[in-house]
Amino acid sequence: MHNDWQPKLGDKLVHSPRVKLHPLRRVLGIPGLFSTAYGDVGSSIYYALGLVALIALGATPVALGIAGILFVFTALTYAEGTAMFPEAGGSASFARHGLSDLMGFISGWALMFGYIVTISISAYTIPSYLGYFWEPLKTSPVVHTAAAMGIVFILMTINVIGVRESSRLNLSLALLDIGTQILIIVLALLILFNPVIFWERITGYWPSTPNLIFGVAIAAIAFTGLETVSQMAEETKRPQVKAPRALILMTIVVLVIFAGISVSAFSAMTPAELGSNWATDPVAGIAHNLSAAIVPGDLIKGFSEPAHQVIAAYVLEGLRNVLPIIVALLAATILFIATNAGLLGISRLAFSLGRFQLIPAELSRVHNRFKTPYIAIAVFGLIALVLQIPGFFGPDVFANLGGLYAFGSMLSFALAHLSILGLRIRKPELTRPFKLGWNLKINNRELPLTAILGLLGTSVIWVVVVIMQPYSRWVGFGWLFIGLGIFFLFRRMKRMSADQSGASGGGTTERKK
Amino acid sequence: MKLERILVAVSGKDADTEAVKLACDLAKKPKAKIYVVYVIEVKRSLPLDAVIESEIAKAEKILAHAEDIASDKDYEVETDLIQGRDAGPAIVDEAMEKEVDLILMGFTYKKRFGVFNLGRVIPYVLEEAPCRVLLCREPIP
Repeated sequence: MHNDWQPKLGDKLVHSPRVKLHPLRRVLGIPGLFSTAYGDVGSSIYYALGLVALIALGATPVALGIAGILFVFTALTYAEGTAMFPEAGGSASFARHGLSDLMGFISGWALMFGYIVTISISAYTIPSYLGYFWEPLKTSPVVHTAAAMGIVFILMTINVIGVRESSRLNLSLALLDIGTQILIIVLALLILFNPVIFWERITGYWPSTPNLIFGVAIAAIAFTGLETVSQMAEETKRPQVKAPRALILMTIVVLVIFAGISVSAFSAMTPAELGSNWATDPVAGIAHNLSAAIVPGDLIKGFSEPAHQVIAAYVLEGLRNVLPIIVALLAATILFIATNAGLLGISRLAFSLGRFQLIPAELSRVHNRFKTPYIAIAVFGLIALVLQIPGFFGPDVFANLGGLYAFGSMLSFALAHLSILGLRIRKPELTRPFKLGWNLKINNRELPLTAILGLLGTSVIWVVVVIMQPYSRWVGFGWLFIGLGIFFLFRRMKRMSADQSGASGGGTTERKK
Repeated sequence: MKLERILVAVSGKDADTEAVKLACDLAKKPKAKIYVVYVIEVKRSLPLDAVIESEIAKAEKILAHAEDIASDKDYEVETDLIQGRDAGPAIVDEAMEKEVDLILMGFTYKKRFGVFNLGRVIPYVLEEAPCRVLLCREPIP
């Protein structure tokens, strides 16, 4: 090793062969990290709104608001955890460090479930938006589901082969996405917003209390992407500083955009319309109604100069024609990238869990030729396909997928909060580059209030989903029991106890020739 | 031209041999230090610190070859193995960190769709590297 080489905080020496130095080359900055994560979070806007409206009706903005508060608490917890452990496991890493290997596994396994559902639901939403160009993609369950399954299958194949993804493309798309969403919000506020009608739509379509509670649970799907920042932290320059900043930036942008889009949706249509006709493509619904409301003849009356009127009429006419097309194409592209991000995320997570002997290493085997974890991609991609199959028989699949996501993500988020609290109690001496404020002092230990509230909130939502959604309950618990079976069997074969640390930091991952 | 540190980016192609030889020739007089780096490009479906044994073995072979060539030229080089998502940013980042005065890269003449093509790494390094960049192209076959 070089005499002058000093490890930077977070650097790992992953291999020490004859070659002297094997550092990780981190190239992402805050924009790269933000844009990659926004690809995930921003994509959920294209389906979460309809999904929440399907259940919470008029209380959709309230449900999203409550979920938004929980999102802030969870983002803060992730900021502290990611700055401490900038590695690929996300909340599974926090749980492994802060609680035990078994809890690390449960968190990782729940997280995997969340990723699988994200893949299914993102792909399932794409045909709805493309239905603007060919209606059966939206109206026929068979065509819709077959197209969604085809998308997952194509992405599985692409990822097994391993195609390059440009971070510049990610950044451009994130900016285009935010730009389009802001344009829609501004136009909706200017043309459609009426506070009286908005209020009537909330109160007139107020749901039952169980539906409101379940709506809050489902609204959590709007805030996917926290894990992405955590996973990408390992390839970020100075992750201790930049990952928390990217998380905070993402939280602010997401909350603002979601609030704006909710107001736009309720200005454009009734909650009943949003939860039925436009449930799977709510932003297309806003664009459609906005397009219909843009009547150049009426809107140009505000201009006194005839020349200005001509220009304004020309611009408005163009906007009216182009807006639904842009939304359809942009949503499909963003959702396609989000589906891909889900596949990439789950294969990275599987590899990370395999490395710490939380799941069999076979799952993270790397293909000789393509150098990709082909077994993980194929297995989890196939499970995502299976989850879409009920779509052939009816529209319930959409709400069911939402419930499944809430089951997996709330469990892993709750464990993330618990891990951060556990680390504060068990390892208070650890360096915390980003330390949460507002601490309660108990037994000389500082416990962050936001993590306590986050733990309570996510746990309550998880219990609500388990009680209220039989489909999520049985499929979710089935997933957990299968996982625990694999974990205990694997550990037994390895002659390791469930709580024994499997940290090895490496190992052969390739298929033997 | 100030020449205290040279970074040679190798990729396992035939062109590496001439690039390392050229670096040794250039470095001899000013007694410059030569770093030879090889970048393992890790696919996005794997964590950045994934250990891919076959890639490491391949990289070690390439770097050992570079050391042998330098040794034949009676010069000593320092070899580094880097893992990154893309070779281009990794090379530029390494050059900046080591404050090198020159990046030297060898490449093979190739055409893509009938047009001469530099690939994706070299254009990135040419565009982003803060120091001088010297390319050594193999003769047209």
